[in-house]
Amino acid sequence: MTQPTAPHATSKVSLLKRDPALLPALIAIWISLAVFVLYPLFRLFLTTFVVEGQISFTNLAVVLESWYDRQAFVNSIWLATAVSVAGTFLGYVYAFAVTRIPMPLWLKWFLGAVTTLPLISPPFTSSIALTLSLGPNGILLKLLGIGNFNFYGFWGTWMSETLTYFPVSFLTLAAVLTAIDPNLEDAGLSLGASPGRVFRTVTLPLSVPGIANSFLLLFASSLADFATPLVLGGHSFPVLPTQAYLQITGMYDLRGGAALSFLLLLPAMAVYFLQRFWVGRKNYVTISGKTGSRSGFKSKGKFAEGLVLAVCFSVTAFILYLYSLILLGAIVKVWGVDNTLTMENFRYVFTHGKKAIIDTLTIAAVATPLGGLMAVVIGYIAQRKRFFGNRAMEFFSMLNYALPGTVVGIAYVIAFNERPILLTGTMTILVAAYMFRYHAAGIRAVIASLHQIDPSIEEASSSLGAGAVRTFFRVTVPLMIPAVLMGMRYLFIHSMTAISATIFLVSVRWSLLTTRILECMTELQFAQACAFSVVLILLVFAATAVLMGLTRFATRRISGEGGRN
Amino acid sequence: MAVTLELSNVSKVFQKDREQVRAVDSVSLSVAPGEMVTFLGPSGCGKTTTLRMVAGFEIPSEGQITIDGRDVTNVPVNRRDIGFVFQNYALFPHMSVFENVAYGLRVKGDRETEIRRKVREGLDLVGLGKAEHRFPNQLSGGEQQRVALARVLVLQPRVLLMDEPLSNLDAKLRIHMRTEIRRIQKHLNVTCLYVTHDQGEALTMSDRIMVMHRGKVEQVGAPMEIYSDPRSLFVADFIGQANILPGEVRAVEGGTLSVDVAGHVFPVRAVKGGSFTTGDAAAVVVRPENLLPSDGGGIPGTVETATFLGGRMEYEVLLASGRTALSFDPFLPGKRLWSEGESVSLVFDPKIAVALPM
Ligand SMILES: Nc1ncnc2c1ncn2[C@@H]1O[C@H](COP(=O)(O)OP(=O)(O)OP(=O)(O)O)[C@@H](O)[C@H]1O
Ligand SMILES: [Mg+2]
Repeated sequence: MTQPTAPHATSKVSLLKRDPALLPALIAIWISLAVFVLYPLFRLFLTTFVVEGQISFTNLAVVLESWYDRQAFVNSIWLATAVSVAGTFLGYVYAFAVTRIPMPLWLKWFLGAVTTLPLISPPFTSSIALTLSLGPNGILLKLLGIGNFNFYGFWGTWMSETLTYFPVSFLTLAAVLTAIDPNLEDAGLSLGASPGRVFRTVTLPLSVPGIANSFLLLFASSLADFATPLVLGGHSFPVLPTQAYLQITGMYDLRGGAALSFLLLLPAMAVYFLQRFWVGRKNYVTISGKTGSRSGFKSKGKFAEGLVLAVCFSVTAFILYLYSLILLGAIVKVWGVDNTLTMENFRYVFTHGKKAIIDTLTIAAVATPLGGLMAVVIGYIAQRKRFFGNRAMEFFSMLNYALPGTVVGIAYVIAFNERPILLTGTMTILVAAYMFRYHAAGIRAVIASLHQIDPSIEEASSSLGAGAVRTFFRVTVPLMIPAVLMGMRYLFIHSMTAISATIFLVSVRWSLLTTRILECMTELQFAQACAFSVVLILLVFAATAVLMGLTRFATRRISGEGGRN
Repeated sequence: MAVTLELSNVSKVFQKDREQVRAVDSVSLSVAPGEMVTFLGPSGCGKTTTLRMVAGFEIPSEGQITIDGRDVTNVPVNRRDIGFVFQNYALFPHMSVFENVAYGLRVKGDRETEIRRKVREGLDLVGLGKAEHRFPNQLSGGEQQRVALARVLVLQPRVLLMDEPLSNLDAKLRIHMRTEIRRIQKHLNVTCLYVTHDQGEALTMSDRIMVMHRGKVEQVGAPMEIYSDPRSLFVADFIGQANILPGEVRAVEGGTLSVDVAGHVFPVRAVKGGSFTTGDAAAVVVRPENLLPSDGGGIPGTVETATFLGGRMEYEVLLASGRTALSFDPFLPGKRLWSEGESVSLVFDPKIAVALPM
């Protein structure tokens, strides 16, 4: 303790010396983060806060003085709150049913499968189907004999977003409920508490961090959702993302759009920080480590179980009904008017929509492997190398994901519309928008999988003579592959279906399926919109199935079952 | 041919929550070619850290490490020609046993036929010739352990490093594997460092033992020397069981002291390098098997517990000083036994005991 030493300076230098690939990788990552994350945001701030070379709040003041824009802010927050309450409630009911109520395996699988439908569908799907059933000429309205029900506005948007986002809550909460040691609940019962009391005093309190997490996730999703309010919000229910979009595309007011997106950014960042630094941590503690046996769950009381299952089944049935409406809508001539079956709509998709299909697939096919590679390198460096700026690197690589797509889209428009980095109209800008926004899931998965891989496995490789690069590709990468494929699946799905950021970035040269669907909707071509949606969903399904197959194969290899029989 | 290994004044400082921790403090050791040295010490004393510096996983904060006379302090692991066996084996879960063992050979760029031959040889050496197509998760702990060993042995490393390689095995397998490892190490004549905190392992396997305590070397020596001539009270207490009897030096004659223990004066050997003068306090270390019960003429006490262990009787005796002493008396039928509560007098052969400064 007496001699002063500087182990840090030396170990850092030798870290670079021993790992010669590290420095180029770091430089590449930081440059790309600077260009595609920091620079656009910086330009967004400049546009919002600098007027004629002076720092100024005029842009923000204009927005805040407008009654309509203020209303949009209030509506956004109110809608997000309502969606996260309803979505978390539904998610909890589902999670409870799947983890606590004895049911056959295939039924569990079925409930899980139906809830993944909204997760992998383009964002309009439920909006279109809801319009077909509750909008003008809606069949559900006719069936119930309700004459003029104004579905557009808060109620429609709320319902559609809740259905779209509750599966996120379901997945989060199912993980949390699974992680609660069943012995705790058994202990409660054995101490004489009734099942209801055990739920109130044990299960519910233990799932509070999960509930908070789900709430914040849904809040962020709803806040950022652009497609649903655009289709269902109508003029009487403005929200920030649609308002910013209309400001820019309708009135060519970039400054106003920037100011609105800044207003959107504030609550989004607040939620992100809460989630990351408060709930995220607590949640981790709950989930990690415990895996009690899941067999012996006692009955929770017939009435409660019945109620929970009734909610689950009706929601599941409703989702299936909505998806079959989309399919039906795609194969009839004019919805609600002329119900003759026809293949005309699909013909339309494969002729007029051919370019959009090819463009979308190309962009997703380019963004997915690139994003996967980024996720591997960033996740690896963040988790394994103790290096200055690591946490900042991880943070910035997740930033575009945390920001609402509208904000990212507007920032990209502002940043890449002029020199020095002129990218408007190129494929690069679309690929970059998807990559830097949706590789976050991959980074998280890679980091999580590296937590499971003991560093001694990599040390073993280098002690056997392998250099850092060989160790990385022969040992580390194969072990991370399931995580990477999972991340790539997520990236692919969103590259096919997301719209909020890229709607600002499409051009004559590059069009997207999602924007085509939106065009059909605004021109009231519901049948074509349905056909496009069906095609898009099938494409996503096919690609997901391939990637899932690969994941399963890779996982089997790693767990070593390849060597059996 | 085996190589020498030398650590000179090696230290490692870790930064732990803004505080500097000297995990290894000026460790010097020179290992002869083909020698097996075990690092022994309580948890957290720096054994693993020292071994990892020799391997090249950690860079020493100070000091120098040489292998075969060449300074390797800043040479990366993969160019040091060492073999490292991990406590958790660290087998590659996505590769078969064959591929695990072949890994280092492939790195070296050996030809395929050569690789095949060497892997077979290596697996035969550890008695796992038939398992080459299996995957690590299909092997028992002991088998995984042997694969890990084969994986480094096929490379014929110049130095073999093992960090508690047997600690995850059950007691019986541990005893079998330690003779096995020792046999292979002698057979291949490879210089070896072996970390353990099982003293049975250290005493049976090693040419020399390095006892560590709080990052420092307490003593380096052959197992018997460490046992019979502990240089410090820590070593005496840590290796085997020891009675530490406090006394006072009455006279010094060369290497022999006359020490007064509880009113009896014994002629006891002074520890090597210890300097005593009359009147100093000294601790006499007496192993329990050297401390025998008798009817009189020794240190008086009362039997607290008497336990029959088959081959011997174990007595815990409360001395007048308030300390408890442990005495092992070989059991023979018809021998005088003491029962609990009885007065007893403890005698020992002072030639076998050793006196340390207090
Ligand atoms: N990477 C590290 N960062 C900070 N402190 C460390 C690190 N590695 C080890 N230490 C500290 O250094 C000391 C020595 O650790 P080391 O692992 O060498 O002990 P050990 O003798 O192998 O113990 P055990 O018998 O429990 O394995 C401990 O106090 C430990 O907490
Ligand atoms: Mg250790």
